[in-house]
Amino acid sequence: MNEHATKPGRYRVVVRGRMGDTLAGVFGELELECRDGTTALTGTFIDQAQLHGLLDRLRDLGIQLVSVNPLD
Amino acid sequence: MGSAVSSRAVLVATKLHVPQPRRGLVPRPELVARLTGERRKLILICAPAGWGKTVLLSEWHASAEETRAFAWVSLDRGDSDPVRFWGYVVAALQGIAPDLGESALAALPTAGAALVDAVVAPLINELIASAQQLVLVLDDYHLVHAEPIHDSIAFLLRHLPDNVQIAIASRADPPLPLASLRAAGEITEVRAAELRFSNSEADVLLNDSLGLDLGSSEVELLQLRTEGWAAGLQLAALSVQAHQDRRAFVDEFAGDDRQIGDYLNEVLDDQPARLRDFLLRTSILERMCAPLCDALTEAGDAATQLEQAERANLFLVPLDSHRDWYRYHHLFGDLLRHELARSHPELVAELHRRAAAWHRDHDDVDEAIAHVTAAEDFEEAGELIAQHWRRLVFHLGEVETVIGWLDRLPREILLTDPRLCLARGWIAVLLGRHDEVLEYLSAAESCPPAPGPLYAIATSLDSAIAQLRATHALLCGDVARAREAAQEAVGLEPDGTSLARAVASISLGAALHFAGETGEADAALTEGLERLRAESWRTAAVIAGLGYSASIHAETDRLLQAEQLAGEAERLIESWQHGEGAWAAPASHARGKLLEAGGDLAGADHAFARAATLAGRGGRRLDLAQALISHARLERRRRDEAAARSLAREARRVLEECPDPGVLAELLRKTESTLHIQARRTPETMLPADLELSERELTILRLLATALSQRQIGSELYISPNTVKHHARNIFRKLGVSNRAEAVTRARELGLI
Repeated sequence: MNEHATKPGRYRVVVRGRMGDTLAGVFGELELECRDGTTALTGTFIDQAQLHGLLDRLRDLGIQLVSVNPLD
Repeated sequence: MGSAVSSRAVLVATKLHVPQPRRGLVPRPELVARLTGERRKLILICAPAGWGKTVLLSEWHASAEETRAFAWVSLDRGDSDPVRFWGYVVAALQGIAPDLGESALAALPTAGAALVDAVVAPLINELIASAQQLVLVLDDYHLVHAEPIHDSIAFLLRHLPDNVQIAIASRADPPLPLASLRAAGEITEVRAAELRFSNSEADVLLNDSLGLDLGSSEVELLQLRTEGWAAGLQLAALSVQAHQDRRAFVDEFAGDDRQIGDYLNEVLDDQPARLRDFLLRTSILERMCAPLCDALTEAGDAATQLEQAERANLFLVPLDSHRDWYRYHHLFGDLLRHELARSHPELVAELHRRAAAWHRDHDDVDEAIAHVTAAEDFEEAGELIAQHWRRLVFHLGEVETVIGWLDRLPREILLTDPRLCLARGWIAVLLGRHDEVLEYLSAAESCPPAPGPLYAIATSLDSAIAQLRATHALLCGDVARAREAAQEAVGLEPDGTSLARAVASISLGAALHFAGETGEADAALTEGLERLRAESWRTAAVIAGLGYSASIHAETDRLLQAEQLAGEAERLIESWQHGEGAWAAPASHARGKLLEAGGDLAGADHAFARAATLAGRGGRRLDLAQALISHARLERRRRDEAAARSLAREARRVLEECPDPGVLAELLRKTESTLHIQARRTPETMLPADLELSERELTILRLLATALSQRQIGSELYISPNTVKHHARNIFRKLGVSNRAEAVTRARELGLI
């Protein structure tokens, strides 16, 4: 097993479109930054499962993913 | 309670209800034609929320060209339990042909790891025999998160009868062998790109269905902005409705790069305050009916609000034809829940509490536990679990569901409630996980007293713990400790007429049987069985007890009684459909002894092999070793020394794992000496170094010992059949044998497998 799968890490998830107040509140635990028609959600995830949870939530809200990058 | 029975029945009915296409649906004849025309094994409709997957399936079902019957299962978050999942599938199939899957359904509660063999394979045979043309729809398959379910569906797909087609709708690609299905042209895929609404389809939706009266350029703008996403278009339409100047809003909407979900607020703001409030508060429900909604809102007008919401196209999906039960469209429900948490965070827990209370009063334990857990009332959740786990685990076989309940509790809650530790321990017994049983046994012993009633036949926690300890010791093959713990359990239940005492007596009888104390074992088993029979108690304990008692009688030449006892066990197994349970192993062993005594050696061979399979599956070492030893002795009697040796060696390996194998140790020694088996030889001393098998060869050797064909072994290991053949030839050469059967026998002798 890859040990990164079970370790906390910071990630930046970029999605298409701007997040207005309604959705921004939903992802309150993350730092949100809107730029050029995209929104970057940055935060620390306790493990990969939590990161996947966010990706699932974005998908379920009809939000399109642009990129996912580890920060450290 | 009158509603108690109907609650579960209603749930099943709503899950199997085929959604009817709504009024004003945008027809999609090309897609429907593909679904009707391409008769491939699997239809996969894969797209994120709100792309119209379910709507397409229901339009297909309703279309005139489609003549086949549909078995429809709408999955939800609680369906990651294989027993539940297949229970729903069979129930859906029985909606088409009532006789279909009776035996699969009956085998389900005890199938455990034998899910495919005991449930899916027989079901496939029945599907073939029925010749019924049908489509099995699994909607919202992304909610299934259980490897055994994916494996069983993959198996069904591999062996799918020609008269059956499977249609799966999912938000993500399911973990099924899609690549090989694609390569074989066995899959019809409909993805977001095909589900996308074209301009003309958007026009039908916005102007014909929703009556917005927009110009074609505005329709085009909305189509472009939402990229043809159906739910996005519908949300946009609701926002448009909320604005006086529709044209201006469309322009603004089109030029805005906000997430479409963000427009929910405008949609909500446009609704009457009561309706808005109603939508937010009921959003925590998985499915709802008016009385349930009223329990949450305490407003008493739920029926009116539901009607109003449906009329306003607020993403309400009816779940039955009476329009009693509804759910929100998943996307809309998600958005509402997020909005509720944002705007009224203080309400969320209380709403869950009210939902839990309603479900508890209506005997829907599952939803009650889900809601108290969501409300973080973990002690209340623990109480409900302590009260209900036995029924689910021992009667319904829904082990995974209970594991899910316990997993969602904080660890410290689980580990400080001895009743929950015992629940987890018994589940580990059923799964044959010895170490886990021990872990939760020790946790139970170091817990503070139980915070509520035991909800068990045991009269004290100590008695319940002793009973589990005895069961664990029997499982892992520690005869002395089993005897001690069972003795303690009997002592802790002084009332000679109590059921707990009877169950403890049976454990004691089993321990004494393996200790070689035949007379005492007989007495303890007889005492326990008499009591449990009188109560018409039909549990695993009775079945195992009858099996041991029958074996004892057979071995002491009291064949008539042995025959009666074995017959009684078999009738119980049959009527209770526990044929696949590990506790049926002793009865199968007894049957072997009886057949052997009657001279039916082939029949005995079969019975012993079956006993070993059942015991091995449940991790019951003593039962397994006993079956293997009896089998070895039988093979010797049949003059098949090689088979006898191989079985004796297998028994040896099992006994070596047992802390105290009791009388079986001596029995095996005798068997070995009649077979001229010396002290155990290690594989190293047997094989010259240059003939050692590689890891790969060992893997293949292990698979050669199964019923898999070389081709199947190849696909298991992702190598070609020729490569398997090549490895097999090398294995034969190194082992000095000429065929597969010899290789397996030789490998067993060498302790390689």
